[in-house]
Amino acid sequence: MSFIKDYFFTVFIVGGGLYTLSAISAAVRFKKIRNILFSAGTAAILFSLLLRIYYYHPLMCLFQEPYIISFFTGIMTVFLFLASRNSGLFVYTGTITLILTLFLIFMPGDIYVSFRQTNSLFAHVYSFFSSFARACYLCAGAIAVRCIIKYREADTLRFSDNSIIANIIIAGYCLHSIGMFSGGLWSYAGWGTPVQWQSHIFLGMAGVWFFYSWFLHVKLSVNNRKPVLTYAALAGGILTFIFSYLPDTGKFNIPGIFQ
Amino acid sequence: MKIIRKTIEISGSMTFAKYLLGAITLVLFTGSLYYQIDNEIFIPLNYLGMFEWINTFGFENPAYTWWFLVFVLLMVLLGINTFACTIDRLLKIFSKFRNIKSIKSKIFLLAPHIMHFSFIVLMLGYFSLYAFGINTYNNILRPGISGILPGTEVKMEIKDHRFMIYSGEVNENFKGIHIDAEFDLSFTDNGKEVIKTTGLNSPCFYKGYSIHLADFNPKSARGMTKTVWANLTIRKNAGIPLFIAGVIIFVTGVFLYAASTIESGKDKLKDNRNKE
Repeated sequence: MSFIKDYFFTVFIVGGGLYTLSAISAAVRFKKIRNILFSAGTAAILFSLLLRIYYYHPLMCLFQEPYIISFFTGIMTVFLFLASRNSGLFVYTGTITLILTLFLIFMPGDIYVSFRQTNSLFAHVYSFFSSFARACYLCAGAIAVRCIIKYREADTLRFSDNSIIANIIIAGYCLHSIGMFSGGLWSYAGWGTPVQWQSHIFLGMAGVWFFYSWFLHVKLSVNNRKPVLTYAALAGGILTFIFSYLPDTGKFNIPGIFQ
Repeated sequence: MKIIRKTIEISGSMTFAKYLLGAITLVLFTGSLYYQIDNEIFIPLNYLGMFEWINTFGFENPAYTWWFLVFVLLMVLLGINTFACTIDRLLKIFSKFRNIKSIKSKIFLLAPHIMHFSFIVLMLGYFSLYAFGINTYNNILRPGISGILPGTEVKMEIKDHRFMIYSGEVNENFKGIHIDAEFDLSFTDNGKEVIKTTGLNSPCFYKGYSIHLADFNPKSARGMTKTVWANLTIRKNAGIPLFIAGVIIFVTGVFLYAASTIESGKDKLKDNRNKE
């Protein structure tokens, strides 16, 4: 059964390959093929993720969050497209999914034997919710890029554009809060304190949470058509990538199947 | 009365909150960078009280710790701002409550303030956690050798223990390892014995203390060393109930806030689509 360990990263690379083919299809405007390849890519990423979780069960694989984020950005791309039938949204959130997946293929987080305290429901809840939240912030950042380009062309923002961004961020903030507090409960049950001063990752996560707390307060006081919200969403996406995504990835490494 | 009202309005203003949240974000990201340069200074925060840490590590390494001191100050200001803002808004909301008939609308109106209230509770929890209480680490217990519960005369002893071996077939690295353990601890106070079970991620509680299993031995059924010991982290802190209460209230507030946003978003989107 140890072959599973060799397969889950290979299946992830297959997912990245399908995303790349989907991007090429989008460039030559084969929309149906683009959609099919992208959905197949997301299914491959999900399969890779399930293999990874199954292999480490009941413990939790360390540094698995970026893989979960790739899956959730993929799922959100499909969901947003099905809900709005808007190809523009598909292209931008799909692009961020492709970038994150390729980034992870060449800079995977090191996988150590998990420590025993990961055998906790709170650990899994933290991993799932905080990854979903980060995927929301990154997708909102990608949609913000689209809005900014449109805004520069038309000199006006449609209410619905900023509204989608704000709704995704609110969903992300709720998930982030649940994930962060679940992490706190896990830390308390495992080590006796809700904050573990061992790694800088939690500072980055807390920084991102306070950034979006600031965003929600700004949203309350400005009109939804104001570009400040769009620029803030873009800044949030970049900050999320730097402070709560990069720390979970590793050094540049060419995968074995390419060597 | 007017002066008090004015003070509450200024200290609880939204503009002040925005500046504070922006500043805290910046400080935390700066701290994250400093932390990567030298994290050894911050690890003692796991077992030292906050004031003790500030007096030692904090003031001795200001070049690396200044951001933490600024962070604490900003959090105190944010706590005051949130408290004043919540009081101010709640007074206004309650005066309008008679005109709102729907209970759902009333609850949705209160959602952000439930989050604000829980944030204050959480901050108080964190503060008492770091400022007060008993935190002791590396309390090693072996069967047949008793220890003392810190700060008391209660005798503590391992009565029994069980190890859970990885039962799966999939992961080669896990084969034979103990993925969990349980220790039955006896606490004897004035001749009265109480037995509690502690395990990984499942602390036991005795007279306000929480006893966490941080580590144990043997780690594997196949290992060379068979000596049984439990490494316990023992804490007594009023901050934990506050923290847990804050989490529960915050999550409730978050769900209500999300529900209210979905509902009002639907209406606004319809209106604006018609306009556009």
